[in-house]
Amino acid sequence: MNFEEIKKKMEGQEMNELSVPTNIKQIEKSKLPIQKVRRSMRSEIATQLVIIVLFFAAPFMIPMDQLAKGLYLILQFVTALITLLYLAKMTWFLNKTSDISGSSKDTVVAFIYDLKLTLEVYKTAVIAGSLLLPISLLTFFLGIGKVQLNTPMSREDIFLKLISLDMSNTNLLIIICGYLFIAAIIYYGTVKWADRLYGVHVKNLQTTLKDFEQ
Amino acid sequence: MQLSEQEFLNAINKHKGILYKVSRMYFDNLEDQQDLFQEIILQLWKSIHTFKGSSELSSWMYRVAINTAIVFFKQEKRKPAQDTLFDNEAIAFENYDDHKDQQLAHFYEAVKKLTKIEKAIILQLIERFSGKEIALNLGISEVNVRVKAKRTKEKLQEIIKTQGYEF
Repeated sequence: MNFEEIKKKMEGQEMNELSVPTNIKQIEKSKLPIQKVRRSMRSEIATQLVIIVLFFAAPFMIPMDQLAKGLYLILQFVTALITLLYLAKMTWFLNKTSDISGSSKDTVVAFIYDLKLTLEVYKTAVIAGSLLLPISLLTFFLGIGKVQLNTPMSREDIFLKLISLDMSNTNLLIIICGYLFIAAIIYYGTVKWADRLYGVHVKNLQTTLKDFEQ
Repeated sequence: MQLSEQEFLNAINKHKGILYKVSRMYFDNLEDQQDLFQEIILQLWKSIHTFKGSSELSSWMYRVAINTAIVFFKQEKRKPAQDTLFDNEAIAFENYDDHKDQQLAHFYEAVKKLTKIEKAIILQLIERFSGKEIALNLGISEVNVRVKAKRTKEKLQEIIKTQGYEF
């Protein structure tokens, strides 16, 4: 195969279809997998911030028992604090640029590493921010009277019994198991969701990495 | 190396053949080529500070361009069916109006069947990079480059043969 001849023909081809921009700003945003993932995560971060504000505002817009409101706000504060700490970390992380001027193999390895790390931080952030959510929601709905229990006790008494865990061991076990079940669903759902959305990029790069070794 | 945006774009214009060849080598579809072409410019701009001047700017650009192509994946919605790779009719539809350009058309058609790493090797062989340079650029041993280069050339020739062409 005469590569010299091919080279000449390649160089003889018209290059008008691909144009160099007159300034860098004309270039659209990066379409590399890592950048695409980071951009999606940035918009998810923005969504999470809006959700945090809405959750905080809810008890001030909907009438709620004072005790439930207090507990709900404490739970929301803890959730918001955890989420915001992760988001701050992720914002720094998402702005990190990947070096692409090393060897090809090092570049692919670095991209896989960055992608996996980004995904892990993302998953942990979502899971950590969601684990208190079932308790918050239960508190909220009990507080606004949407959950009716078949008992002559007042809502406040029920609430006090619940938060002081004043109940039979069987009921306590049911609540713990129920919570663990919901937590497992949150964990599994987040992992699956992240892998489905972003995992394909890791797989593609891993396939490329294997090609170096074959 | 510190370059102003204009100096950088002038350098790109001077060496745009490199970007064109890499884009054409990796993608058949013009939209994908344009995306890759722009992505390479963006990555070159982001990495220009890492260029120390110890090698030719063109060699460094080649490396960044190939690295970008390797980690770049085409838009899913434009992904063509992989089964059409040997479709000779596809070659006829390309803009190769001259008979002598059929060789290039068959070459590009065959290249589509190569992996990203194989494409990188063939491209650098075409550019007459030494085994040592290719090894350095790819981050693999020279022996591995030799083995891969031999295997890839054979594979390429075999594919071209199945297209009913030989050169």
